[in-house]
Amino acid sequence: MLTCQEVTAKASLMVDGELGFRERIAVRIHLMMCVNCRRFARQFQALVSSMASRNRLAAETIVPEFVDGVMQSIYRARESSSIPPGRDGE
Amino acid sequence: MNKNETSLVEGLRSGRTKAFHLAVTRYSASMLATARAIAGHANADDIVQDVWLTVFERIDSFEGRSSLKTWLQRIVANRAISYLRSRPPEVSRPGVEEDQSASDWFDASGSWILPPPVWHEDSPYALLAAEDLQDCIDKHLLDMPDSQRNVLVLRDIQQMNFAEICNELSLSASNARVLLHRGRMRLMKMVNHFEETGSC
Repeated sequence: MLTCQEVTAKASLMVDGELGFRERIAVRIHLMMCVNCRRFARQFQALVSSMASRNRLAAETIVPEFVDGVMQSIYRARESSSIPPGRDGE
Repeated sequence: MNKNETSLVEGLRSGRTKAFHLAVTRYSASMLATARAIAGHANADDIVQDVWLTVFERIDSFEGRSSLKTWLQRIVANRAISYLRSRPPEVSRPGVEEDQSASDWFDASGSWILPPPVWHEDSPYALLAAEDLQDCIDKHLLDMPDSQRNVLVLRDIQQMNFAEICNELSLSASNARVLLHRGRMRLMKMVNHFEETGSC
């Protein structure tokens, strides 16, 4: 029987789906019986999932001024490079 | 690559302004998120802008073995990590190596001494919506040891697999997993503290 401390030590392997079969069963049995570890596991999973969602949320919130600044840099680089103006046909 | 991305890459290779504008608009936000998480807000804009200039000059080196987004994220992560490594020692923020084993949560038999605190919200999106908490996570990400933060950002924010992470950071798989778990536990402790006290 795993202890609570052992279950928390396996939390990352658990959320990453990297527990072996026996370990997975042992963790599940422990979680069925331990309300504290169930809470910990639920919150740990929520935290890890929220980190992934950060990137998706950020992807929706680009600042137009940043895009303009990058494009200006690219224009300058194009002017100072060997790439002829009008390469894009625009 | 899907058809849209193939078309976009062709546009970039041809140097079309519209293609660059579309790519910069589409991918910059997630690139900034990566750069901010690794190198901090103050340096992220410069890093991403620099990466776009590299892309402009070296788009021909993109071989299409991964998606364009993944390729861009790798360049950003590498550039941000290089930035961290290049900082002079007095500016370096190695982070405080604390015990992240959470051993203080358990008694000698390995049972909880106190139940873990109940979070006000424990869904991913509720956590994301709590701006103060997200600011606190940003702060703690930057205070982490570089090794922990880099693995955490590449795995949990960028969703890279362990093989890619180990390759990027020159780590063994076991070392990467240890660093990742320590980083996550550090954030768990931070959120617990935030939930209990309301302060970062």
